[in-house]
Amino acid sequence: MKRFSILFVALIASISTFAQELDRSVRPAAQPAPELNIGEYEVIEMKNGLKVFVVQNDRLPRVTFRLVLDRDPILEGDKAGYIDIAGSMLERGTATRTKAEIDEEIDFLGASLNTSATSVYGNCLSEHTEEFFQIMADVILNPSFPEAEFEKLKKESLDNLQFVKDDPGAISGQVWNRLLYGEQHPYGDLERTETVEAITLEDCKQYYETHYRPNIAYLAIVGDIKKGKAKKLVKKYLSDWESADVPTFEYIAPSNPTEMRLAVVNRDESVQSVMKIGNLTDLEPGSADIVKVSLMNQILGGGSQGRLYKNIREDKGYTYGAYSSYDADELVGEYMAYANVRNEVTDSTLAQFFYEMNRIRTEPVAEEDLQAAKNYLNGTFALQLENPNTVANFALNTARYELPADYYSTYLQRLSAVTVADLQAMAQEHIKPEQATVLIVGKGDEIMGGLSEMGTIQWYDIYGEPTTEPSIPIPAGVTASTVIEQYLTAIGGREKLEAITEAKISMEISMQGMRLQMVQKYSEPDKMAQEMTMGNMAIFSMRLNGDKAKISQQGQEIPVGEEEIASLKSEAMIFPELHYGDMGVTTELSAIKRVNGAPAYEMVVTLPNGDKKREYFDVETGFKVRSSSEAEGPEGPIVQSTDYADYQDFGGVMFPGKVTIPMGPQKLDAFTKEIDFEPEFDADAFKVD
Amino acid sequence: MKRKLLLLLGLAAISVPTMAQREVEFTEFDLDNGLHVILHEDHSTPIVAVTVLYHVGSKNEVEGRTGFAHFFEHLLFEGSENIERGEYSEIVQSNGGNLNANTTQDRTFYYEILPSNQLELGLWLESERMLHANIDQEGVDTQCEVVKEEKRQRIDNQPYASFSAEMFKRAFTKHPYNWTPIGSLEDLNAAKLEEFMDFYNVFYVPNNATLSIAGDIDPKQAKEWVEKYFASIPRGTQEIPRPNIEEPPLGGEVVDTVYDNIQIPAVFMGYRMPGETDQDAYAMSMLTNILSGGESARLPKRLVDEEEKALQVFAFPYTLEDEGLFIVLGLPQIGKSLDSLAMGLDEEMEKVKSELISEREFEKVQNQVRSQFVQSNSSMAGIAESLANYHVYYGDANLINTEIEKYMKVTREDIQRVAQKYLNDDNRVKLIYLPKDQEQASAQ
Repeated sequence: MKRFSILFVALIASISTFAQELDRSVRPAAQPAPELNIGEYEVIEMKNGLKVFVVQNDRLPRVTFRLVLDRDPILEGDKAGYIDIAGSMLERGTATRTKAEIDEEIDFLGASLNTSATSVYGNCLSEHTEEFFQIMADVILNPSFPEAEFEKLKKESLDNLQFVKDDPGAISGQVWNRLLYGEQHPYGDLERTETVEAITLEDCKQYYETHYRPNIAYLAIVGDIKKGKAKKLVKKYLSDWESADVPTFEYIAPSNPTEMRLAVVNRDESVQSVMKIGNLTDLEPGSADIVKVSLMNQILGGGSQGRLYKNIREDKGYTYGAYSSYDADELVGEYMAYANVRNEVTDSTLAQFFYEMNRIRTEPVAEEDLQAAKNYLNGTFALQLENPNTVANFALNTARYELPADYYSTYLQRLSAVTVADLQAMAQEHIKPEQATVLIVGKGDEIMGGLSEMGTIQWYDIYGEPTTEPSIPIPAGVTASTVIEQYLTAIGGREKLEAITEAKISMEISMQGMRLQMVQKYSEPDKMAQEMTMGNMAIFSMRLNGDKAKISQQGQEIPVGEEEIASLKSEAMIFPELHYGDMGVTTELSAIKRVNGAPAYEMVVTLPNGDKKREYFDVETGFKVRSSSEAEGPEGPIVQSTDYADYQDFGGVMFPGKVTIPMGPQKLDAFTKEIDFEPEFDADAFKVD
Repeated sequence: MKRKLLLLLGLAAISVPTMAQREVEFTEFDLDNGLHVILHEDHSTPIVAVTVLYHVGSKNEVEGRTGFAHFFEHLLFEGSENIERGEYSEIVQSNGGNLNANTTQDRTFYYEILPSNQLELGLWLESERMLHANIDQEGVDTQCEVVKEEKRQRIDNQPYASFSAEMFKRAFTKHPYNWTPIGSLEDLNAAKLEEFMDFYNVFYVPNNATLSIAGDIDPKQAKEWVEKYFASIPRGTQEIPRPNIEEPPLGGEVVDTVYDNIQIPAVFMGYRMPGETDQDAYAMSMLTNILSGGESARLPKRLVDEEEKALQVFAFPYTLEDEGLFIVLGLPQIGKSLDSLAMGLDEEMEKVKSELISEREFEKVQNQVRSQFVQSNSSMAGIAESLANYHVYYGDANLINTEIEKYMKVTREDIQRVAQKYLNDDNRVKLIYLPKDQEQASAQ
């Protein structure tokens, strides 16, 4: 009998092995979903207003304490940094303990304790619970604010500001907040040397006295502790904490820019661009939008399944990670996408960000993508319950944001009810590409070329203050005269150009569907004419002949003054650079700037009468690419620039095929049609009556 | 005071059995193909961590092909014969799970944390990765770009982040700890597809892997599924190369300067120390606590608080399988001298060598170690990883419960002894980090 049964088992085993020849292409199905138990907490309300949440969990012999203050954000302004220092001062000495004593006692227990402006956090082995809590309560109730410790913390804050300068992520963070929220909003506060230096010990004491009050505080106690013991501890050590009215604050809500703004912080050392694209949005904790936004964000950029990650990392290989996130806040919420990408693909990445942000706004997501996102958030909700602090956080949030009591227990139901249409509505509501702020911390001269095609770059320093475009250092040995020589060589060579004394240049301008002809005539040294016609109609004509000039516009003669004649004479040379010395023109190189993306030498050209213009010569080709002068506009001086591009060979001389001329707020493109360097002028070509 | 101390000692003694009651129970077995399996059952949350540790890290690479092990950590998310490109993490996440991986000099570690009803899915995924991962040129090309960006983001664009590569390349000249897991991007660029395939065939085999599972599982069912998905994976046919290189003593202090994009200079010192399984490593670990475990520890107390020379000071053991480095670092406060800080660090090293630590300090360190030990088992993923590490490096997964005894065996004299043995100038690399603009100044 015994033998038979063994045989029987063996037979079954072999049959089943045979029958179960594994088909690996079949994904295992899930077992029935396990029941999710969020866990329980108990509430203790103290007479002084302190609310205590106790979550008992004895899996590990330790206890975690977290005290949180629920106060309005405070604008620190020109003392930015004082609140942080005030928070750190709590553990820097009490009425009965020096800092060294606190450190020694905490370390001796193998515990940890940290204080900040709005929280006190610590944990210990459960065998040390009371000894630990006694110190924690002492720190909360009796900080002594020793002057020497204050000075140390201030010095530390100042020193830490130096780290920010090397950390592109930190720079991005602080400039982002300043740009989005502005300096009149607490979220736009920014620490600088002068703000830290302005902080006094009194500021810190005042902060503590005003805001460390039990009536705005919550204490979460989590771990190997029973409610009875927790209650006893809190009663024994925190009953004496006195309540008081805590001031509230209101701020003018910051708003998004009216159109996309492109901000760049230059950092020459950067090998990657730290990019953020986002906007402010109305999104409060507990709002019905949140569960929908979380799903929408999951699909756009929530992780390695997000479209941003798949597109920018997995498809293009531009980055180690591209994501998006949302921030719900009682004052004002935020939506943001971000990535660090190598310098040369900064502009391409920005385009992809906009592409994906627009796509999720305009196209409904696939039903299965929504389901996948729901499954993911469903699962991560379960995963976070592993940590007993999660339950305490739920309790805290429910109290702080006045959420419905079943907010978390109904979370999964609300999650599963979200529709594809909800997602699109959320994207349209909370993602605003047209009003986005784009912030890039990176190597300006390598990224600005491409970026300037996508918008006007506004430059900022690392503190979010507007600044000017960074210049590239001028290499040693390069001077105004070498740049001019390089230019003359590039367009035909000094010798050839010097031989040219007359020229007739014909150009065509198309403006609002009309065609204009422009002819310029030169006969050096002092004769010049310019005529603009449309069909047979003369629109503009100018003639210069020696000391006389005549200008007429649409048949009407315009008087010409002495000064204007002088100015015209300075332009009567075909290649004025050949004659700067004779003309008394001085030149100086000021920088290397980018013109339409390419580096160019900027040369300040000063005419004998003191007028200045700036001319730009492409570093590589030597061609002149821009000429700028300042003119008086209705709101102060404005820079008017003529751009030269598309150099072509005209009778052995390289000449711009396209000249872009400012015309009021607009720009006109003039195309060179023909150049004659041996023209036969009519006798009265330069005649001035 | 004395009475209180005694009382504390008493408490410590009582707490040992309390902690023993919370033992991490587990079962272990081997499949015929050599795969080692560890199962830990815990029903407190309906989740499960499925982890696979491959005993391959950057030290298994050869010169000229560094960065391979870490590169695989990227490549092996590209799919398999039954998983399309990009689907791997999609499958995990759309089933409510999280996943990731990391690489050290010694091992590569993959994990999924899933709702516990998806255990079978997790096993299928990991078995696909082990049996027939998809390694093709397209995946190699994309991940090459991604790894370059990872290096830029985590190292090149971060102040001081080059320190570990700079330190190890000087501390180890023979042993492959000479390079760090990120390796060389040139090497990766130069590698051919066949080389990646070879690497996979040699190292990604069941006899080089440990499957460690922790969470809401039925161990019997889990074992059945493990067999179902992993038993048919063939054992590796090639010998697994493991460097057996005895790094000669440093033979004198190595001092060098690194110019970085920083404002504040820094000093980094790396003392050669034994591998993590050596009993001396426990004493060194406790020595770390003496020096910088908490604000009352010697380095921050003296150099930050009392003398205000340092902005930050820190000591930590960079322990590895074969050998390690005991790292001590300091950043001076602005306007304070780096030399004076370095001298202060040296004096503290001398002090632990010349003086026995006090009873009280010793007790403090023991408490800290116990507390750290308790906290290390706070998550299923952490438990699964610890079990695998203990099995692979120490050959004893039960150290998850008993390693504390090894710490408690360390005496005050041991701590002094290891300090004398390893914290010597001729056994260290000292790197001075200076701002880049000083490089030009010094060149002129």
